[in-house]
Amino acid sequence: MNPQIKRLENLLELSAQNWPSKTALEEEGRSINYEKLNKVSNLIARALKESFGESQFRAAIYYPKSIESVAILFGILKAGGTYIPLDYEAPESRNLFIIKDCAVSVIFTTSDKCPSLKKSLSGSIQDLNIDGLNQVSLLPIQTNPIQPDGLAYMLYTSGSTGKPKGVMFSHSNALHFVNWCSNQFFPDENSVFSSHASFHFDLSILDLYLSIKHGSKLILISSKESKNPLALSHLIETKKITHWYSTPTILKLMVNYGKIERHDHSSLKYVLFAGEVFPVNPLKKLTLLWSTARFFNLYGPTETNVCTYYEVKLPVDVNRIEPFPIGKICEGLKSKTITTFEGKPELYISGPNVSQGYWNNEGLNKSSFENSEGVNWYKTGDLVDQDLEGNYIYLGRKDRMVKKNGFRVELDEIENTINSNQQIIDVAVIGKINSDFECRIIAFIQINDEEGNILELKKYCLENMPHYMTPDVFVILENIPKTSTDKTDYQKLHHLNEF
Amino acid sequence: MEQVKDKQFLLDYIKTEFLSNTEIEGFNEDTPLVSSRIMDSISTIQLVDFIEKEFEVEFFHHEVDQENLDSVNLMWEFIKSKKQ
Repeated sequence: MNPQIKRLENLLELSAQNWPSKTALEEEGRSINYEKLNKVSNLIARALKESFGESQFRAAIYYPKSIESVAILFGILKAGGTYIPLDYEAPESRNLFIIKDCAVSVIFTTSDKCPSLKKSLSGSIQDLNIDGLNQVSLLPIQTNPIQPDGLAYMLYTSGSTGKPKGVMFSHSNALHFVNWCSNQFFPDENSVFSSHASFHFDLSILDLYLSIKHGSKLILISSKESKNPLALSHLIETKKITHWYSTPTILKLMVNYGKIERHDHSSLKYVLFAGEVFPVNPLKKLTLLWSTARFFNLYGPTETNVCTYYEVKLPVDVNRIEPFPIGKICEGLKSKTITTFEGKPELYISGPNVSQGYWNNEGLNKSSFENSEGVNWYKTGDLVDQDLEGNYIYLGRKDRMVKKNGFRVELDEIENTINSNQQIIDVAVIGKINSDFECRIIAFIQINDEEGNILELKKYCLENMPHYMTPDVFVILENIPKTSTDKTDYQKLHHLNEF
Repeated sequence: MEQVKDKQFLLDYIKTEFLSNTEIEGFNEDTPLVSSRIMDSISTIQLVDFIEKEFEVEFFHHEVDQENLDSVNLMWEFIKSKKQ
């Protein structure tokens, strides 16, 4: 590891020295080179330092993915701050919860979001303009509670209590992960990375920092393009992408609707996927269509980032029906399995990737991490087996978390949100996985007869939860079935529905 | 008898494939589908595939857009313009 690299922003600073005029980022119709990106982030850092001096502060990035948002992110890091990327498309109520939960001092946002934010947040609010960046506003809100040293960013994920929880990462957590990626995927200054995931999603850490570290070009894919397989096919061809990273959901869409055979995708060298199970049939098709690429299944909860990996052996056996393993532990990390109460093996992970814990949540830190003999283990909640070669095989979850299009969803968070609607008497939410490993979220509800209106309830969900958490199906029941101890009988509900 | 591939055909397909019973109530040619989030991104792509196959038209990647897909009437206009 290069001794000059101690913090994430050093990756950009070094690349700006080594490849000043090389394109760092490209988005639709615009690009920026390493030297300019470094300079713009310095401007932002300077403005932040004037406000915060040497104190540790947290800053939210409430901005669509863009050249600006990357410059802001590095600006925050350079000023010694911690950034919290928000889901630009999530309901504002959820983002406001996050803003308040982690007590940010600054929000970087677009001018159209400012008025309603100012209305919802109390305290003295101030707009600043920074040269070279349009529509950036800084709204100082609060002074800083204590946080762990060297915290680089926090990612909020679905929480079972009904509210999202902040997962904290240090510079060294992220740098260790990025260094591991360098040794696996061999990028250089001629590589072209896709940036498909939003910055609030942990997949983005790989493409963002790995490409910047190696002087590669990062293609920022807008949220609109990211769901359009035809646009993605066009992008891979025209930008000559070499390293692709996304969830299997997107890759399945590309196989089915991306018209890949009509495009030249021979630039692809590495195709990485993570976040959910990739059923073997579409994967098989993709390996045939993208015959120049190597394929890697990367596994890891947000709390550890990627912790196991498996390279798909090509060609894929035509008779294979079971999904590929999640593979072996990444170099530098440790794994073990502990038998749960139900007698199933749960995967535990320790090592330098593992998160600093949850923000301001001692209870959850105690229940999710285990400290044994000075080693901090994260309990993944994932049940695994091992094959004869020592690869881990994913079996399922031990709790009520599901993956929807690669996003982590706590069913209890959905229940809590639906429960807060006035027309609801009782609610139970389940995730039903079909034979293609796709999850459908089904909400069983008991409602007030006179006021019951499913359309309004759906609207309420969309206003209060990200779209991937909104139930696919609502089923009205007279009563939600209960067990003898008066808890929701989820077993019965799983058998009851026919969707 | 061969199915007539008209606006009604498109409307019926959307009803059966993408709408729940409660959403069908009040659904018409002008009901916004994408902007109202009745249809998510994956359903939209499935719909594009259906239109391409059944109406023998082709979308360029930039045409997969709310402008052309938000309602049955907009889809119909798009299909007609492609047929010209």
